[in-house]
Amino acid sequence: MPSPGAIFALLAIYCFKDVDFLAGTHGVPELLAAAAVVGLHLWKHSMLISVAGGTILYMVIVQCGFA
Amino acid sequence: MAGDRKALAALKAAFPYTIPIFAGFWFLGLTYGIYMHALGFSWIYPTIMAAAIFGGSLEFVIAGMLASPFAPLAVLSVTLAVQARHIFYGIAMLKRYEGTGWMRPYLIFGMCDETFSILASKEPPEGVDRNWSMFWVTLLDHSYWVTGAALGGLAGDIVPFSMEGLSFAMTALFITILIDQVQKEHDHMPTIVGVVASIVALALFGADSFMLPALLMIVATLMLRQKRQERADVADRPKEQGDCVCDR
Repeated sequence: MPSPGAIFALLAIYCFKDVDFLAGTHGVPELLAAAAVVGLHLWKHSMLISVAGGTILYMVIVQCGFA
Repeated sequence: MAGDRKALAALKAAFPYTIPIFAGFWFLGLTYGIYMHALGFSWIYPTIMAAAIFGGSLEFVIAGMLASPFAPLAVLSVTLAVQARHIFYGIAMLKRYEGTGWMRPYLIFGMCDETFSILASKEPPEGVDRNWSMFWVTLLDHSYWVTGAALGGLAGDIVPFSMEGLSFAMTALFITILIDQVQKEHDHMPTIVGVVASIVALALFGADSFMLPALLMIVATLMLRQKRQERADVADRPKEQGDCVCDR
């Protein structure tokens, strides 16, 4: 039975499967927001804050910045 | 009736334990419902999926798979892999679920990470029926998730701003789960294998069909590693005892 770490890693990579790093925005919005999630989570250790913060940042970037 | 009073007392005792879960489940459930709505599903879908699958993170993945070409084998293997930890929860609860009668099938079905963390760590107060208490914790957590998903699916229509980019909530959720896992595990190798195998499979097989090969690669690599470790253990033992003149 695969260990949880490997499965969670697979799921995290799965989320980036449709990101095109070679064209368009080169995955910059995704990487920025992901970095924010990592930072928030290491800092506050709160799933709610990390998910809300990262998602809001991502929505702001794709809706305003990289239109 | 005495039975009713017993159930009510257990509900009163169980509810406070579930309040933190309420916040988390409603937030994620709402997000999940809105996400499903953005994918084009009616609110019925997230509601039924929340009630019947009740698999949190898995449901986000299944949502994407419902919107992709039909791949039952991939769905089955991903579901098994993501939820396999529940087997250990089940084993841990064997004793506690003994003698729970008609509640038992529902207690087994309704087990999730959060419910397990309460049931495995908290004892109900003196004089409160333990079976009813476990039942209410399970049912309350389940209902938070379902109502959150239903409301999210319904609210998808009336949210006053664009939902573009909301799908990142799933990414963010899995990143936090992965960080928690990395901080808690002693051996990082399986996680590293998971990252590398997934990226390799994604590059080789493409976004729509990499999950199954990635899983197989992970399982094969980890099994090989375990075999090698066992062999190394066996080889090390005589050396430590110093009673082996190894023939090379």
